Amino acid sequence: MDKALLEKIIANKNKKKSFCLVSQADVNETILVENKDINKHQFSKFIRKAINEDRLILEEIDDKEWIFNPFNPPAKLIIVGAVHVAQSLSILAENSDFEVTIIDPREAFAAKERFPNNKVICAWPEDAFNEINLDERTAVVTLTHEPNLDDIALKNSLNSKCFYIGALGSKKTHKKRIDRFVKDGFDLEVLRRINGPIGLPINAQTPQEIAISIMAEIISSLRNQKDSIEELRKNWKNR
Amino acid sequence: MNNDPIENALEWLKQGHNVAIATVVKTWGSAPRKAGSQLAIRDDGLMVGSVSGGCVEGDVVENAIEIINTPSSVRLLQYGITNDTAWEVGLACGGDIKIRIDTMKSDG
Repeated sequence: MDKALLEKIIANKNKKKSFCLVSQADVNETILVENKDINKHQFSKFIRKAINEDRLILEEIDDKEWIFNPFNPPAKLIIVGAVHVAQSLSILAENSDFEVTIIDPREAFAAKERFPNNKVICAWPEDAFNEINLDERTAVVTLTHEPNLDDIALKNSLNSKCFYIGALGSKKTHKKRIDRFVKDGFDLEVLRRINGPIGLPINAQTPQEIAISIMAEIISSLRNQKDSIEELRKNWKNR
Repeated sequence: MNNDPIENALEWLKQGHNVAIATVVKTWGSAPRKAGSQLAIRDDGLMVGSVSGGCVEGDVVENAIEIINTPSSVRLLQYGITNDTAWEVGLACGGDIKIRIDTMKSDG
């Protein structure tokens, strides 16, 4: 490792593309393999594996130990509703290395001063979602309480591969939401992807506490298998 | 202070410090930080990041300082479970980790 390599790592991180550091375990030489060059590399199989599983792999190849250290772009959090909870949630998410985008067509809520460190899109969700790629490293949270704002965002999310969908609202509100979506042709099994009422049940009271319960739920989705999350939720909600 | 080890390491190099970066390369059992976690170490002992829950950082920094003025060197370390002797460096959690240290020379 040297200064040039560190500069290359930071430049590649800023490009928001996956890459991998490859070195022999006890040899002072580290190579940065960019996403576009992986197929050309003799160990492409291990590089792909490290990137896909988002974990460093130490592998013995022909009696030599090799290190494959992957770097993936940060997970993304899309918050619909620039409300009080969103202010706390955006801070927690940033601190957990999420890249946060906030969407709200209401100018008073979407004021830049309320979210000095985040990207704020002051537009209706149907327009804003056009410029957002909801991939498997994206979480979507709706906080407006307004069906005409939340529903569009939720439907877009349900049609995507995003790893987490959460909607603020009571059990009653969520039941009504599910009924609306079923009428619009969504399958009940698919609708189970929406975490509602949102957040792990820690009896959160203030906007700050609600943000913590939401962030905890997002992290549990990111780090667990889907099945264990379902199990977790069932047990928690029944307590 | 930004807590990204790589960004801090680069900044320190530019300021004229020699720098080491420790990386967790393997874990067994209940290790506190996953493989890939990094700790940047400046030649005066300042550190950013982590390779455990604070259990072995002291020893990693000591090892790094030993080789930090020999740029482009590599040292591999391994830590296992501690026994009851409190002064022994190791992981109380019962895990086992392997760490690689890389050293880098400053501009100045």
